[in-house]
Amino acid sequence: MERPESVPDRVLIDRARAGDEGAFRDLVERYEPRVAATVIGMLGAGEEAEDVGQETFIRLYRSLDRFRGDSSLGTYLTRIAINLSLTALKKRKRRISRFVSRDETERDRPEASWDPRGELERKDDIRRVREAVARLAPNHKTVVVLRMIDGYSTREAAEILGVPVGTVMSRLARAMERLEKEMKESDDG
Amino acid sequence: MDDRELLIRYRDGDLSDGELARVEERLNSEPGLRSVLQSLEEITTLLDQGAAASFEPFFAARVTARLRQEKTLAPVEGMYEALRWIFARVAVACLVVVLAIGAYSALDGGYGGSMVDSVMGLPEATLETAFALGG
Repeated sequence: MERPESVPDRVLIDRARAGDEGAFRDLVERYEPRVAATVIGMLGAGEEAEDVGQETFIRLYRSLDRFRGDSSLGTYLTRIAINLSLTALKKRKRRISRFVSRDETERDRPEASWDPRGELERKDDIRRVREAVARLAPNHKTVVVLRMIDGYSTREAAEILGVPVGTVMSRLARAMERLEKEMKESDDG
Repeated sequence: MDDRELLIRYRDGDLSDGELARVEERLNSEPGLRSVLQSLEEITTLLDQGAAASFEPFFAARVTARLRQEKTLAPVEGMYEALRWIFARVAVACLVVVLAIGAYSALDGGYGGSMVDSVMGLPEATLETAFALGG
């Protein structure tokens, strides 16, 4: 009996192209962690992320015939997931802007120093850093997710986003500065 | 390049030997830079630990079910598309025929007095023709 994890992507893709639903399902199971990390990192957990996650794999299925393997399947899926997440964020922004005033989302906050805490409060820190990521501008959030959550190198992130390496690096530095500031503020708050 | 970019590259092992030596020297002598590096490390760890590893259980089953549903709907959508394509072309053909008949009627001049009557191919409506039609 063939173990799905031992079958190369290329073989599963060929089988899925030929209509083998089981092979496609194996691909979904194989890449679910990566797509989940990207999509939930971008959108937070919930129905919206679930829907974007499903749509990412549906788009993959529709484009199987066109997938030539120039990039790895993981990178290809990440690119789809990032694009769909950015579209979802734009829709969300349009929805929210109808109800929330700008004053409520962009408050001036005082400077403070962030004191990293022990293991007991680690879960709370994780929750706070996730919330801080959710508040980042989409282009900053994207580089944080690709570099710090998905584990892509700066060069790979630049290729996925189609921007220069220097742009990824400066966005990442600004995003990390923002996260650090938010963590300090919520420590004090 | 600002200090954070420098420290990110330092963590990535992406500095030249000269840059690396300068950063390490600064880290030894500048508490502020060490603090920035510590925050960077801490946030990176939190982001890594907080990364979602999966969606809700049975995600793959939901994807394949949605795919099956789309495949079922695809032929129906294909049929609608085909009907829409045919209708658009038939409608254009009908319009051309109607315009051609109208033009012929208007140029023929054997119909009613007004241009509209001529285009529509209607006989001139007078009291006499009305009586004639009534027998």
